Amino acid sequence: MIITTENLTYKYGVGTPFEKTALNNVSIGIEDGDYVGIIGHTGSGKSTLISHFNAILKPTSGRVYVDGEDLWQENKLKRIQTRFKVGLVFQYPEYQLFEDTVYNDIAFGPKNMGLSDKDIEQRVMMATEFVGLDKKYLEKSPFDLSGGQKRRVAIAGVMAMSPKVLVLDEPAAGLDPRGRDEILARIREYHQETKSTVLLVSHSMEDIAKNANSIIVMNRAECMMHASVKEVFEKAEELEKIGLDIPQITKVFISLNKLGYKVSPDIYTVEDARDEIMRCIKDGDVK
Amino acid sequence: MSNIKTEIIKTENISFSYNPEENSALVLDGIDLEIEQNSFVAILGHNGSGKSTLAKNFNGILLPTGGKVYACGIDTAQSDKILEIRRNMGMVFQNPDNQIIATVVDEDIAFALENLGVPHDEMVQRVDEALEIVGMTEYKHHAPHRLSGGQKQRVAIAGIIAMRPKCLIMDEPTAMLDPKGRKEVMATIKRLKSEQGVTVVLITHYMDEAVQADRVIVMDDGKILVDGTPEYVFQNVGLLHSVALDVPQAAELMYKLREYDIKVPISVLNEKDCVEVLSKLLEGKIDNNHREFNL
Amino acid sequence: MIKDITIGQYFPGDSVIHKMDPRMKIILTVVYIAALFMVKNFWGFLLTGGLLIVIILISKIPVQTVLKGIKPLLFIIVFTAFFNIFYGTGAPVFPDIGWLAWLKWGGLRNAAFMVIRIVLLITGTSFMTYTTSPVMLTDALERLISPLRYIKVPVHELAMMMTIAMRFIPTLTDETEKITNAQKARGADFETGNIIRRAKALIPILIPLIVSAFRRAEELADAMECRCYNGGDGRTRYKIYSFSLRDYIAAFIVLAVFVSIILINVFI
Repeated sequence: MIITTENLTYKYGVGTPFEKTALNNVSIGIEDGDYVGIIGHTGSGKSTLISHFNAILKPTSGRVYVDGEDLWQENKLKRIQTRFKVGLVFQYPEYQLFEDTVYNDIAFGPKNMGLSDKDIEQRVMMATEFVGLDKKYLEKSPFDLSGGQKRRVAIAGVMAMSPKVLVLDEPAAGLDPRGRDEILARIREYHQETKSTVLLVSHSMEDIAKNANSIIVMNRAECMMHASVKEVFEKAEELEKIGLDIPQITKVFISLNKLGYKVSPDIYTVEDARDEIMRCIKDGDVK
Repeated sequence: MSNIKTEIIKTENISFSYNPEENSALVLDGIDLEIEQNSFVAILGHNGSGKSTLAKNFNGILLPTGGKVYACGIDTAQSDKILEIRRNMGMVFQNPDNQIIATVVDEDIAFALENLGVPHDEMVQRVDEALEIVGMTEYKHHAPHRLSGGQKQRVAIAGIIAMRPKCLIMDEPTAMLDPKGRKEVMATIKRLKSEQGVTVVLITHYMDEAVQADRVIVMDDGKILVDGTPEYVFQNVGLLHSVALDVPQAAELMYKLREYDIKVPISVLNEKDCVEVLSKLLEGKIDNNHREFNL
Repeated sequence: MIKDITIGQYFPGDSVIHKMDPRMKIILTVVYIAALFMVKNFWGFLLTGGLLIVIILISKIPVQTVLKGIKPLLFIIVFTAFFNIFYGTGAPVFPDIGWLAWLKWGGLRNAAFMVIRIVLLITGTSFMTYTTSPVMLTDALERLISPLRYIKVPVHELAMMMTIAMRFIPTLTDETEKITNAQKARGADFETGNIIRRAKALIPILIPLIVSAFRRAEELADAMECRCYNGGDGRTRYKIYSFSLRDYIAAFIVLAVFVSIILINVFI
């Protein structure tokens, strides 16, 4: 387990009229090297949960362990070190860019780690490649880039720290379909090549289905499910009840399955759907 | 002049460039378009295809560098008519935070009416009416920054609707919202069209939203690529993919099955139709004589 | 935490105080402040304090909230009290204890007066903002100073700027927090080092914040244009203010307190 939480509880605005429990007794474990999708509607506690993984938020009660170490038993310096172990990419990360060149912006994290100039350069190059950014942009101002490119620079800035765990909060929000597919493909590649753990927070069940191995479902400040993609999607009805959308194609196959056709209800992508239909026709065993 | 009555927006060969002196690239390149009154038109296109620029040309926020735009029959270049154009062609933007001006919901909705010099009693009535239309009456005295994204966007819509515009132009109003917020906004848009008779122009990335329109216009590189009913437009799966757009999964599945020469219909967009077609296919009622495929 | 500061915050409600004409609230707040500075003895404080308690009860704003508003200023209060104690005059409090000779009755009295005065001042004036939406407040201010437009003061523009500023304070506060967290996640350290180091550490927050403020301003300008904004000419108002009975009653009460304080000063 690379990250573990024990009875993690977090309350906002304690003692004010706006007090709210954002996390309630969450105990989960993230396997090293896993690709985990985190889903849940707005306000379910997803963002609060991930902000605990690198000590941005302090639990009201409960514990968070990263790589076996209890974050809030460590001294401050050590805790800051955790931020290099668990790289967090927030929503709309392009709004955090500030340096004069793309290179310097990506180098900000590695510089804070205290690396040598040579190591920093190597990290920046590596990250630039992972996000698929052309090297010619490195000397440009990040503010002159397009929205999609800015997003890549911001993600590269976190990847450059070579975190053991990369956490991304809605990395594709607001991008067009091409931008979304490219970013997700890059993240997938990063996951495969570096063998690091990736946590992807998303509203899009289709994106989660295409990328993740397991899913954490958050609902009303609690962890409702934590299981493989298949097991979670099998509970389609429950997911819909808590306001989550399952992919259109999954709904179609669940309906067909209910109608008595011998198709699998666990279909999440169009490619799987086509293959399943073709298999049925080929086998001639349809009902 | 008689044809102007049914068209709320008409563009004549418009082109647009942000820096015409420096010969910078054309963002819009020869757009000819007519949008009928009380229609629901979705405009699709990847980022940089020119769709937002086009929308801003519809109400004179931007003026075309070449060609003419007529909004409700008025040339948008007539600067003395600009308030009349803006009042009739309401516009809602992507980020709800950046279009709410006041710190209380009802005061924000009144903003446009104050600008237009609407008498007080009428203003009060129109604010209540607008709140009612978007279903936000109970939040009348709330502070906008405490609302959810979907609620904020409905307040922004109410602020426009209070002007009683003939047309509502929406520039990616759901891009920053969660699925729940998106549904709220879509339901509001559809109600505006059917109950208030408002013409809706919706710019979006989301195919499931475009499917709900009467007409879909796909833009690429400042030009119109395809224009027609959703059924017609989403048949062109290959073309849409080539300009980096999605199609609904149902349509994509049909497309992929047809690649194997299975004769499923092409215009399947929703879940229900898809289930129907696939059941027929599985029961052998659809021609699939090419069984030699390699998986 | 920036969120603990309640001064200038508005608590929606529909008490009599909330419903009062904001212009009257501003005028009466000024009268209240004037009264507070004229008070010379405890009777006067009793009167103004009593008035404040009545206001708190009527407005239904929780007492904790009111007390919380004082908290950030506690330091200033303690500080001024401290100095007043030291520089007191009059008879010593403990004439028999030598090392406490500096502690004089006059000093204690001054310190107590100062603390009461500051607390009454802060709580009293913050009630204006607690019970009046910022928009109403700017609106009322605009109306009160609107005669200045005859000497070419851009009253409407000033008021619009204030309204927008207030509308964006919570948005930009949220944004600052988000950017801070994002930079923390990249290992930025805002908590250690000397002043120069800490000031430098703010650059990664300030630049994105300014860039974002400009972007927002641009979008807001478009949105305002789309809603037919074209300056102050020919605008009508959504909120119409007229003094009603409750405003006159409030004015009567506050003025009565004011006059009583003068009388107390003269006769006691």
